Amino acid sequence: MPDNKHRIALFGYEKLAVDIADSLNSIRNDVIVLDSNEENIRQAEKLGFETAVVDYSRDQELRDAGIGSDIDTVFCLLPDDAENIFLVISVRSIDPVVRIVSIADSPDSIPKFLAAGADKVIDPYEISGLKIWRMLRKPIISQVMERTLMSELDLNMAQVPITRESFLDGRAIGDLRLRDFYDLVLLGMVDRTLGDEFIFRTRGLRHCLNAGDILVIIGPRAEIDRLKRDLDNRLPIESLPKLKKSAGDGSPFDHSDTTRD
Amino acid sequence: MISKKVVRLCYYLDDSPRYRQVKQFFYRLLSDPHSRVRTYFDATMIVLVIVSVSLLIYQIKQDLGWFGNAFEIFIVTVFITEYLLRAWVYNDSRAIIIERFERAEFMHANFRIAPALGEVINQKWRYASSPLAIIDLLAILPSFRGVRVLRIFLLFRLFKLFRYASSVNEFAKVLAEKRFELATLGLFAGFIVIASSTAIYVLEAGLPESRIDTFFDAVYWSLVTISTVGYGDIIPQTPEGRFVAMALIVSGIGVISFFTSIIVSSFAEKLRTLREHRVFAELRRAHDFTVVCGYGRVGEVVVEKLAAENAYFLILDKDPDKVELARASGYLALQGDASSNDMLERLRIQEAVRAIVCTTGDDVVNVFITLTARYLNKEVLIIARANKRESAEKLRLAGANHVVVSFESVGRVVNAYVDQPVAFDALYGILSGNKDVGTDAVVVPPDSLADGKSIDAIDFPHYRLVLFGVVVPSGRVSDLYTSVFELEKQQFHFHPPGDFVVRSNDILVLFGDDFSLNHFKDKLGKSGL
Repeated sequence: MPDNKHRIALFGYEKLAVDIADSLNSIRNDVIVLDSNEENIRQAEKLGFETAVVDYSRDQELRDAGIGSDIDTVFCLLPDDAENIFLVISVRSIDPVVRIVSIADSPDSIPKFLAAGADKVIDPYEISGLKIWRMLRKPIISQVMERTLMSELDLNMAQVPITRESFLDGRAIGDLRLRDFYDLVLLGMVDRTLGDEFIFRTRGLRHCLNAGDILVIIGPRAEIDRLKRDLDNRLPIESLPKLKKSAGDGSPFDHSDTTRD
Repeated sequence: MISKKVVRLCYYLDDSPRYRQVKQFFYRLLSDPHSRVRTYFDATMIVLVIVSVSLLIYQIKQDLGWFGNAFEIFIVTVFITEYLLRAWVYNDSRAIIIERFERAEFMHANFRIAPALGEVINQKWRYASSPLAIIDLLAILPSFRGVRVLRIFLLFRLFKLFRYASSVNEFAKVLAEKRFELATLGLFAGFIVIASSTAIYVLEAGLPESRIDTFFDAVYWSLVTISTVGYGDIIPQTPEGRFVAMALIVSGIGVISFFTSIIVSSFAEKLRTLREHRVFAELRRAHDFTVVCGYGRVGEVVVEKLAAENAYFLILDKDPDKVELARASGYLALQGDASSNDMLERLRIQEAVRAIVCTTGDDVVNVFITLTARYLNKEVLIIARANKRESAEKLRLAGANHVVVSFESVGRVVNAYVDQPVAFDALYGILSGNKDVGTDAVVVPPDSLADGKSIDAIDFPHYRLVLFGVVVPSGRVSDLYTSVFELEKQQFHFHPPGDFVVRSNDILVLFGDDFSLNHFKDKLGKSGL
């Protein structure tokens, strides 16, 4: 899991990029907007972004802008697929480890982007289309997701890396009783010994977790932070306080042994 | 005196619900283009006609005895009844008389029965003189076997099939639309035939070796030649006659090709309407379908998901290329303007449409479609895509239930990805339903295995499911110990504790693979939302 302190470069400042830049800028202030068009740059400057005019066909200018040095993530948001692919290749040739995220205008281009070295390709139309489909066919799910994970409210999805010698290190996911200790829903994990694929929680009950594996959880920010802290501090499981809470609708508090988590 | 009785009878009929019901029934049976009984009736009639024609053909040389006669009488009875019933349901005669009578009352004039009856007869005559009615009448005639020529009216019985097969009607309509071209061609061909007949008659009729004796022979020869059929039973004998034949052959090719091209081109033009008819016919059977307006990239994604679920949907786009594309994928698609009242009404927006999705790339168009649809149906679910953030509010004002701001949702997704790439991939896969793990909302039916049980007792891990939370009616549960999120009229309790008791009609929001979700839903005895 990369730390939160990285610089993000946004290439292209057109309609889509404006929104992405806005939402990125609301949570961090290390975003730099790069564009070859001075008019766009002026627009971005007005909104308080750090900016630079860059001709992205020249490697030297890319280097000067920070590619290969302090930039950790590059967003390719140019309006044209061909330009974006060119940019992806240029950036990848300068820095083999930088994270590159690109948008694709046509789904046919997605494999080309991946071949050019992009880590993640986002199809903006697919995102909107799927959202509409959810509203249409799964109205409750859609409402719940909009109100929780997709909103600014205090319910987050997070990935938590397992630290060496923490209480999760060496345990099978089926034996975990995470919900006894934290107000968190465990969705699944990535087991590094099996690859980078996400494994849903109920699939990998017998998997042994090791340091470096990643848990994907949903919960309030404070609970997520508490879990991370406890893992970092290598607290033994015995010392964790059991969660005591009741639904408060008059049912007796009952902790039967059928609970598995 | 008579007139009073007639008027009284008309009022009596007008008041009688039974009379109306009966007439309505026969209207649906015979004429209503949308009714279902009519299709069955038509199919029966087609079978009857074919059987009767086959029997008549057979009887030309063989005798079927009493069976043939009995069947013929039966058929004719059916035909006559049908003819009279059609004349009856064609219009409402009583309405004409009542209207005239009331008008006369109002003006304090004397009501005279004669003109009113004249109008009634006039209306019925309009029916009787329509081509299909004439065919119906002529189809009855072949029964009178005494007159040999009447046998040819057998053909009219075949023509009767036109009435029952609507696609044949389309063919006739296509030809009717090309009246002008066909008339021109007919005139041209007629002129050539007359000219060449005259020429060949003048040149060869007197010759002993020629087989042209009468002018009728000459016309017959000309027609056989110009149509490029050329039987060869009559051949021009003189060089002059052959010249006429050569000229006729050349112009014949012209006439035939011209005729073919008229037919072909008119069908090509009509193809779209024919296809539209098919789409509408298919929609007539559908209920609760979704109309997707705009088959752009977003529309494509929505449609793809809907198709995967076998949901009923229709694509509407102004661009013929896009419509063609949708059809090529096997989807039901229409070219048309979704913001026109007419189009939406033809889709039966009031009764049959469950949801309308506006996914065009133009916010102005989306607002207009939303407004039109909302005006026509207060209940229908409208989901609109806003390409600009400013448009979202306008779409809501226009009546959209939900608005998806394209780039806003992308921004959020990208944002999540920067911090939590793995978690983001996982959740996004689950929500899009593209991975084998999905999410579903399951309503708890009363008295099911989950009703009144605690979360621990239901034991979700046993079903290989992960409980994300429970949606309950607002105020049912105090929210002291769980994270609560307000929805419309409901509350979402995130990750309720093990002793949280589930009641009927609560909604469980679950993660799991499709198999586990379906298994659990089966167990509850109720399908998910």
